[in-house]
Amino acid sequence: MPVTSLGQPTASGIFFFLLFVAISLLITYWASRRTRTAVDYYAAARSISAAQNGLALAGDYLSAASFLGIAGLVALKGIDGMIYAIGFLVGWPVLLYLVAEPLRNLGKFTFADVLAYRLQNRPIRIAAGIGAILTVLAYTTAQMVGAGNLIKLMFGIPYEVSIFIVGIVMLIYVLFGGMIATTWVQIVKAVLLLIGVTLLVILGMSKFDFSVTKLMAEIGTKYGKSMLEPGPVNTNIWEAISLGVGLMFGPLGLPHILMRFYTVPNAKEARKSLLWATWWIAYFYCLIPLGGLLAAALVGKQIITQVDKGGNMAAPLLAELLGGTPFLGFLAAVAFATILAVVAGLTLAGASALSHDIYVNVVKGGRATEAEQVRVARVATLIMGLVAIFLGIVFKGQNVAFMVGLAFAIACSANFPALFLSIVWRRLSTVGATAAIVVGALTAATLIFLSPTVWVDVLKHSAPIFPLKNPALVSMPIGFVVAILGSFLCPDKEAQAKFEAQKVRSYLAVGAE
Amino acid sequence: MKKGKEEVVNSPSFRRLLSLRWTVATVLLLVVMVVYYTFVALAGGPRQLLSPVVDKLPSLWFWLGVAVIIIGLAATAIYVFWANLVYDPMAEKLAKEVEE
Repeated sequence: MPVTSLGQPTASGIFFFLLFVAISLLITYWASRRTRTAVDYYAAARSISAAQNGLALAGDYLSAASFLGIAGLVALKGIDGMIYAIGFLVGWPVLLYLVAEPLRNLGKFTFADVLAYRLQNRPIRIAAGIGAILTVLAYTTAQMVGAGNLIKLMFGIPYEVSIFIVGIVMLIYVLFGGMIATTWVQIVKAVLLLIGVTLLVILGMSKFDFSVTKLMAEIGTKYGKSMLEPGPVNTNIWEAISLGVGLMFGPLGLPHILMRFYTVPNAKEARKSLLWATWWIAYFYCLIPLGGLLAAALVGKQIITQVDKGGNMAAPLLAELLGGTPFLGFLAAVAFATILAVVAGLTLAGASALSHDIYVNVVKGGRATEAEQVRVARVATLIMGLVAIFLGIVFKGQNVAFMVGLAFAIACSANFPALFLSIVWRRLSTVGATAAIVVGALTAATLIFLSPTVWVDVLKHSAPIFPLKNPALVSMPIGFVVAILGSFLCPDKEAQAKFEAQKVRSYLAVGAE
Repeated sequence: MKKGKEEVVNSPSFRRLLSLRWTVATVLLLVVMVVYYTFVALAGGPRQLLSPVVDKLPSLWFWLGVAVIIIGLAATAIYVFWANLVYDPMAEKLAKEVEE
């Protein structure tokens, strides 16, 4: 008898998945009737409330990797995986303190709007647009390849078919429903994910009288004390700190996260939505390590690695053990929904950089009618969606673990320094900001290429040229230094003269859209 | 009486508002960073110091992690409530004086 019904389509799995797709298509139909102008398409008509946006932000962040991946990491390696989880959380207060409110007050649809407020429109839009698109593509590749593998593991659907299903369904959401549909699909998925994880942990903890100490003691006797202490994942302290820097400052340059702040009416709601998001993410990341440990205690490491070496199936296996095939089906469908919603958000973010920043503001010089803007946005969405499918197919079977690291590294080394300095530093010049994005992105990409994750794991060299898996500790300061040097070498009098007006708008919201 | 943007930006009350905003943000940022990097450094470095305690309290590291998460959440909440209750009224008062 097989240990699990994972890997084949179960009736409950298909039922829950079709139910989710049906609901999300209804949402898309409803949203498509409200999507007429550019502000509808990119920013959901700025009609999303703080509580709703908080859930959507949390949804963007709670990807399948963080749900299945961290549970698996904790199940196999122990409490160490929690360090990742905590790193994912601490970026949110930092985002709130450093960029959220000025971003909302100064911009329209993308973070490049903030840079273009003072700096020369063409060069800065091209640089920021490319920075945004690179970040999105790296993140999308990781998501698509993960999606193909996970869906194959859970439903037994061939890899390429899964990629096409994900690509086409999410394209329907984004093309027809724009940001309104993308946001609501994300909200529905976030609620389902939170319910699923809560149920999983409550059912599991009931076997241990709801005592964390009892669960840990069981893990300790079964697998030894090392499971309860940090260690195997973070062997090097600089590695751990560099990872921490990347996780803490990465969200401040991730386009699909930054874009969400334009869906709320004003800076106050943006701020409140961050508190909601932080609350849900904190809740999730307190539960998910417990889920991992419960899987290790109840399912056992041996069965988990037997199904998938990476441990990704720890949470679904635990669900099957505790709630039978129906619960497994529910959780598998939620994981599928998670992938759909996250890829939809990424596609819209990439499309907005391509259409709003590059096409409308650079090619057309900002002169485009409402109808033309929406049409271009849809074409850009289609392009980004097809690219996502293409990347998923091309990278089949490849180790793409470094791609998420690459997205975070570019975000915090290229996008974040330019964005943050444009908000706080009068002297930031067009040359400084453009150079920071270009050099920051190149440094991040080069260092990752020379790091153990690509140089050793992918290219099979014996020793890395750059020792750290995550380059943020080096590449982020380089981004800042280049911005500052460039601004001193090529000052921008025009940009400095606009700083007073920018301050009035970014701190008092006078003239904010 | 309406004022120009430059006049508002250079007024003492605007300067006070900005320095207050960045003081609050910097203090909270430092709290979050110190707590988080201490946790990371502790996990990557002298964790053996805490090893004996793990025998008596096996959930120690889990609760330390939860504590970091709660401090991060609290630091977010403090800023949001401060900004809603203190910053916004001050900013609105100044915004009314600005000539568009």
